[in-house]
Amino acid sequence: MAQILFRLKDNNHPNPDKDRRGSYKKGYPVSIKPDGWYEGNPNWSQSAYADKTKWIVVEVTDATREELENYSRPWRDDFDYEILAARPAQGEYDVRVFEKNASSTGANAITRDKVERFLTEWGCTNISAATNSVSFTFSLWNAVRSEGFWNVPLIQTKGSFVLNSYSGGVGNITFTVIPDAFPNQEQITQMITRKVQERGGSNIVVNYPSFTFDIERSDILTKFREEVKRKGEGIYRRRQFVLPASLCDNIAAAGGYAQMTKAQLAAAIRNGVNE
Amino acid sequence: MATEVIRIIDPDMGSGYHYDSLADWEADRQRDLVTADEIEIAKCRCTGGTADTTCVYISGWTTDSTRYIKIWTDPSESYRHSGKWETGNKYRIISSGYFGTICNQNSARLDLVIDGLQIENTHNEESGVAACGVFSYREYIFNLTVSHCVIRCGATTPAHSACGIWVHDCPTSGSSTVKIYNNICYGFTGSEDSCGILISYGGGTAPVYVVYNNTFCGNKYNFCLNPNWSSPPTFYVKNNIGQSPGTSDYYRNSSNGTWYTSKNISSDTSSWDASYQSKTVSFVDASGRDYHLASSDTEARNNGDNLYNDAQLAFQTDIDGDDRGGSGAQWDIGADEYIDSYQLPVNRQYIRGATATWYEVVDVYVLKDGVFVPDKIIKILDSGSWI
Repeated sequence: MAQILFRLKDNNHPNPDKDRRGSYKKGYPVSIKPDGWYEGNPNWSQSAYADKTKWIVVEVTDATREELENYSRPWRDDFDYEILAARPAQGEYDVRVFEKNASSTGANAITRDKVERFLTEWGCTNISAATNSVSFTFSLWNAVRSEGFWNVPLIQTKGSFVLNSYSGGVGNITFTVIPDAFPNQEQITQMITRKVQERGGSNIVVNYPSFTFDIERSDILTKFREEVKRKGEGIYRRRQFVLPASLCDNIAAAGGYAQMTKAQLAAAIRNGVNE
Repeated sequence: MATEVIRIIDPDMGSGYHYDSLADWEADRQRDLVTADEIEIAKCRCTGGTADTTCVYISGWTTDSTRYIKIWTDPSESYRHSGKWETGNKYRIISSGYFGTICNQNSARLDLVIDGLQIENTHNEESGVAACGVFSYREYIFNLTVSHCVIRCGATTPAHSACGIWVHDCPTSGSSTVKIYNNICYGFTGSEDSCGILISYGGGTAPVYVVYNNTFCGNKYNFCLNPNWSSPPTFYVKNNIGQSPGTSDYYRNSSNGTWYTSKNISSDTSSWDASYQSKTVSFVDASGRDYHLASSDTEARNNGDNLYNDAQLAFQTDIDGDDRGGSGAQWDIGADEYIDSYQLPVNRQYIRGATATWYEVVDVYVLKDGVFVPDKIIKILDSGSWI
């Protein structure tokens, strides 16, 4: 057995967006507790949990803590990608990014605003939005010359790029930096060679101010996706699951504690993405 | 003066507790501290040996520089670690939090102090995961202080960008200030930006980073401090120890910004202070992750800057509360200040020397950074001076 601590009282923030992302609301699962937790120790009465206007507890009689952990997660972005078309000869992909954790009514749907900054930073073109998806063209050549790839603003004003060759999906590129922009040879050499490796490439010739490297188009696409996932995904709502207010009220009226089976809980609790 | 409001977090639900996890405390206490004119203090205890096992995401708060959040173990109680990872009744928070075990998710400015905690993240490698000890990646300014903490990676396959502390600020207005001092951090060995501390490229306006007296060992990068290229920050980096990195002790992708570095030890050649490069610091038990300075150490002991009156961050103690000394004292480098703090006599002998001088020889146990070590002290009885 295990127990779920639910919030019975709304916390509020005056900004609606911040309120949704950050505030606990009535019916949100706060945390998962072990069997016997509720009123199970001699100091309970002087704890914050004893305030029955704030909390209710549901004991799930046939579940372990691990089985219930899923209920206490935030409603978080989860982007996924679909390759719409590949043009190997040009080192390009047409890609569609979409939100897996959007609701059927459109809550938390992906929008152009949500991802455009990342796409632009990585040199993506042909950006267009539809319901819960944004499509764009990802090009190896644009990506290796982008601020997103190097994490350096205005990178193209600080050096020149030459595509020496492209075959079998692998581009061979030389980046020659302007020494005035990067006067510290040791530092910029370390930065560039490290970044090439991070992005899945191989350093071929390292000879400041010129750096030649190989990079494969699917590798760089993978790194791009990881970076957007890490930096672009956020929390839409403090909790993905919520117990209906009427049920919370009933449990509160009965003393703040109820027992359910896993199946009963699953039938009662509402998953935001299904609404 | 803002009113301090103290709540007790104790996973063992001992006498006086309010919550058994920081996550529950945060869920109940999130509010506008500025309007309330309050400082919210979460005082962590561990009265029965149980760890706090839920990550805490800080969100939904309104704070400023004088109405802030403080999460700490009170050193006047017995629940703070002694400068190395400890179980028993030492408070520790261990989670597999996706972003971090303690994570700034506030959709507004955040002023947060974390002091004296043991923090672990156990999340294994997964695409996009951050899996840090402390994670702050926001589009709002944050004033973050992390001190006197032991932060470690508990994953079996550390995430590619897992860090002890990852700070990425990209506010649309204002400047952040981050102070990281007297911390120990180890084990973040992921394949990419896995660091003891990672200050990553951001978009904020002239932030200030103060990184003093930390001991970071065995991370892929121990100190990775990348300037904000569009509006360069000011870095104050002093008295740190980096040892045994996977790739590099210190790394920055540019020297943009203003840098004040001093006496940062590296085991490789990456320190920005040339005379402190390629130094091996001797610890009490590095393989056992006890990074107190050993009595035999000659690199860190008495070689640091005295920061007692430092304009950016003045302090006087080390990670376990030992006094580093006030103005004029010779400080050690790293999180620990080596102290011969206590001598326990166990046997006394009186010996007459060849020149008819009497000596008092006392066998003692000396408490050196939490460990009793046998030693001898000898007193010349005629003069009363000690040898």
